[in-house]
Amino acid sequence: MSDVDPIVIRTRELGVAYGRREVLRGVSLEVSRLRVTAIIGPSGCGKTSFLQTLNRISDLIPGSRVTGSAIVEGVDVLTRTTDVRTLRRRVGMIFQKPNPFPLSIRKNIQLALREHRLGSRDEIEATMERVLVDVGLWSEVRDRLDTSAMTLSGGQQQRLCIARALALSPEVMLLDEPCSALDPIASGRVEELILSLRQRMTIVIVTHNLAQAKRIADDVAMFWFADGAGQLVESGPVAQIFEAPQSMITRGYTHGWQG
Amino acid sequence: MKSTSRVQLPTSGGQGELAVTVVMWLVASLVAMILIGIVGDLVWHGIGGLRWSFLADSPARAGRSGGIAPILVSTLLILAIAMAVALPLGLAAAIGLSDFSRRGGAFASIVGRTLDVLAAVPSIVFGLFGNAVFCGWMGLGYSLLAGGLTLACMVLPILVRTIEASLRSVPDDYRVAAASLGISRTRATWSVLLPRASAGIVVGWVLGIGRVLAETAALLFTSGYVDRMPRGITDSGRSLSVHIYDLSMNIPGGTANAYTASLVLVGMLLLINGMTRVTVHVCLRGSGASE
Repeated sequence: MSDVDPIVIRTRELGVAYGRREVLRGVSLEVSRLRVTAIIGPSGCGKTSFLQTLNRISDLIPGSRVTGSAIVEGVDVLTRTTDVRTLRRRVGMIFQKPNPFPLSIRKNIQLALREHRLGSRDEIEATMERVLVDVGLWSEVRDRLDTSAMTLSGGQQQRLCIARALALSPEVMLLDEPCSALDPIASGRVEELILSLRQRMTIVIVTHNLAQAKRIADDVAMFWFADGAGQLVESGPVAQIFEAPQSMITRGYTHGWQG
Repeated sequence: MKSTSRVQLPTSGGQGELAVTVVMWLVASLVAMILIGIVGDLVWHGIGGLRWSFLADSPARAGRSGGIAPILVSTLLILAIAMAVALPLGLAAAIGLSDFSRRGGAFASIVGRTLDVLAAVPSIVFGLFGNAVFCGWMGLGYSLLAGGLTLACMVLPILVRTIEASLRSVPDDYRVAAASLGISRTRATWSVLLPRASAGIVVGWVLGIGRVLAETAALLFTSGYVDRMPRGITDSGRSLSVHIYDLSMNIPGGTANAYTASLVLVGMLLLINGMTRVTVHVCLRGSGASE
């Protein structure tokens, strides 16, 4: 390939079931490079399940079964032989509830760098400083890198989690309602942070907050629960989804009529 | 460290509430008084005989006079052998059960139940087992090694179950976070889960030490009861608990020294307990792991 593929993630007929309960069916979606794609839709329509298949975190859920295909940066994610460790380094994930390790701030960032052998001791220190600067935490924590991450506020913890993921230089970042546990000010800072990352990586964000989707997304994918499973209703540029949606469901949801 | 704030419970709430509060206080005080009573009794009767020579000398006249030096050495050797064997095995088994086998799967549940049954087996049965396997079949004879190994088997179930429970109580958030960063389960267990579970591990360790130091029956069959200084771990030796049993049951006029030896035993237990806690606290402060 001479040019870089503008599509980073391609799913075909992706389905997820937990035991006998089907939660997601037939999702075929393309995610464009260096853009923010927001996944919207009501609770229980499989948004999180969709995200979790992209870095195979779905493996951790007992009884989960994924069908269809998902290609991320040319790599088939869902095969038995997929190098999951490398996949998860390249595809970072941020969760709804901030989940820093109950270790020092320093160790939170360095643990994964050590695991993936990304640099010497000095390089790891430099990376730590760089990502903490990136998320705007450096000035707040530079004097207490060895205190427990649990002493940080919720918003700071979430930014630490983002820094921790950034340290691995991922190409894709998956965010699962990263602001829903934060107050509006902390939430605003995380939003700004996401926007600042757009130049460097492809971002997929699940959000319940339509205003947030409007503010930060380039593309939007609308999920809906129908016929016993979550499904993709439509996807497209943010203006199209909010102003000229093709589906009545999208129109209703984005206008707050239902969902 | 995070400051923990406690909710101040209301103490007033009518006559009924007051009565319940008083009863709870009485019961709690009673429990505390039992411990204070035992220790007080030991100190009262035993402190008189406690002097340096008691710790440094060999027993004379079947223990009626002299000290307990060889017995202390035997006890510490048995303890060291038992815990050195049981801790790595216990840690490995607990990690296997909590993080490397399917939750609620057949394997974990069968092994778990087996351990529960083992934990409830009377120590004298472990003694017979140790006598048959370590002393007889493995040819170790009556030795500190055989005794230590027998006690390792005995504390293993408690150790595994306590450590496993503390690992399971670590929120899955950390496991998911580690996995999402491509961190292997081994490293996540070692660097995140174990430090977080350390308080529970210490409890298991201290319980294990308590059982080893208290054990008498199983050692009669395996370590023997000669009261001379052991020449090595393949030699036989007498533990403190066996010594106390012998002095108080078989030796007329041994009661005074039995009290002093008991006082030493309880003191040792408290000392090891305290030292373990301090050590873990100091080690974890460096890693920044919170409670």
